[in-house]
Amino acid sequence: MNLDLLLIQRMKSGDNAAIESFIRKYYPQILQYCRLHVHDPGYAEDLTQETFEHFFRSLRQYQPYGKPANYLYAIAANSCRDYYRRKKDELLPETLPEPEDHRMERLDQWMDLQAAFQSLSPEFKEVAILYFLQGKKQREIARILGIGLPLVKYRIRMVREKLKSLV
Amino acid sequence: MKYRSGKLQSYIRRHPAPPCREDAIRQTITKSTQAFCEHEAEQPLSAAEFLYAQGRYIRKRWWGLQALLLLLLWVYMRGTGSGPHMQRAMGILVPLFSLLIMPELWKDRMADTVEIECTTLYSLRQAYAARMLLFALVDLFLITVFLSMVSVTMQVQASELIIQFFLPFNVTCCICFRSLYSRQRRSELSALFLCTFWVTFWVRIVLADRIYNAITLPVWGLLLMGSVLWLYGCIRKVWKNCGVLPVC
Repeated sequence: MNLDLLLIQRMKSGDNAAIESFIRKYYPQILQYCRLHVHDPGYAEDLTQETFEHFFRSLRQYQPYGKPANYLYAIAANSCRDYYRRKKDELLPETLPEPEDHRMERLDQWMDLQAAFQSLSPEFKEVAILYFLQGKKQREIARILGIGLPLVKYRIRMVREKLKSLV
Repeated sequence: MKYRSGKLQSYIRRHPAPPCREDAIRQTITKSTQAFCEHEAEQPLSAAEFLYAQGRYIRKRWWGLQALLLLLLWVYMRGTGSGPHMQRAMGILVPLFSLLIMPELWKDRMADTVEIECTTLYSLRQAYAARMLLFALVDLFLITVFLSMVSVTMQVQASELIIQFFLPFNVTCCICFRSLYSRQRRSELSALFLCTFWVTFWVRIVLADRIYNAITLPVWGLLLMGSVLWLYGCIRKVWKNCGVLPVC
């Protein structure tokens, strides 16, 4: 956390090395998050880039009260929502990334999970990705999505029940 | 038991963070840096923020020393009263008061950082203008407090105070600013020499009653006006020349 603060201070003073370190540190997490939402690697990379660009455009106003990762997730979540809105009429590849190992039982698992995630509404899917696939804490999810903690808990409980019944 | 430890966990295990393409990361770094720079260029600091930022770089000890100097002068004047002692004290301490500003204005030339400051987002001219304005504001406050204290606690004529205080102050500032915009590399040495010469000259004038009394009030007024105009010209010249100050 303190290292992040230091990094942000250096970035604010225009240190290019700090900008690079920051992006390299958080790029994989944000890319994974976008891939889980969008599934198409190319689109996911575009959204990740858009997220970082947005972050750096508003860096001057950024106050490091929480973790910078959470702020990045919040921007990425908005970018994903915008993406869904933009591509509403287009056919999107609504599938989870396909496992490389295609052994029969793993493929079964993947099919089940894919069906389960497909059946979730966008707001539940957001919480499910952050909690089940990205391992975020409930409090962090509340901060990222800008919703209350009880609502996060409720959504997680609902998703868990739904996934149990489906998978 | 959390559902995370079930099938999803096994899915996550087989799906670690996706491999990141180096090209994509590099492109993100470039675009992000561009976005940051463009935004910074679009939204420069406001005048107050810029002044505050410059104020943070000025060492506050000089203002402390200036205040201490004026306090010493006041204590001395209270002890001795008006007359030649007051004139002598003012003649020596007031130029010193103005000299205390100079190290801060000179430090980038002494540290050879002018070339770095020239390449920053804000021009050297803006930085100098901000620093001079900050010094002017603080000095105006200190001098106002000092003159108010003197006028309340001592019986000194305003005209005498103005001549004794502002004339040496202005001339010292003129010498310093004139040296600051000179093209010599070590101009601070010549400024020091000229200031010492000026203080000696001024003390000799104020202590020689024959000369001092021979100069009438209108002449003092003209001299003061002349020094103010000269100071204005010097400051303008510093402001104009700071973009082309010699750096080596």
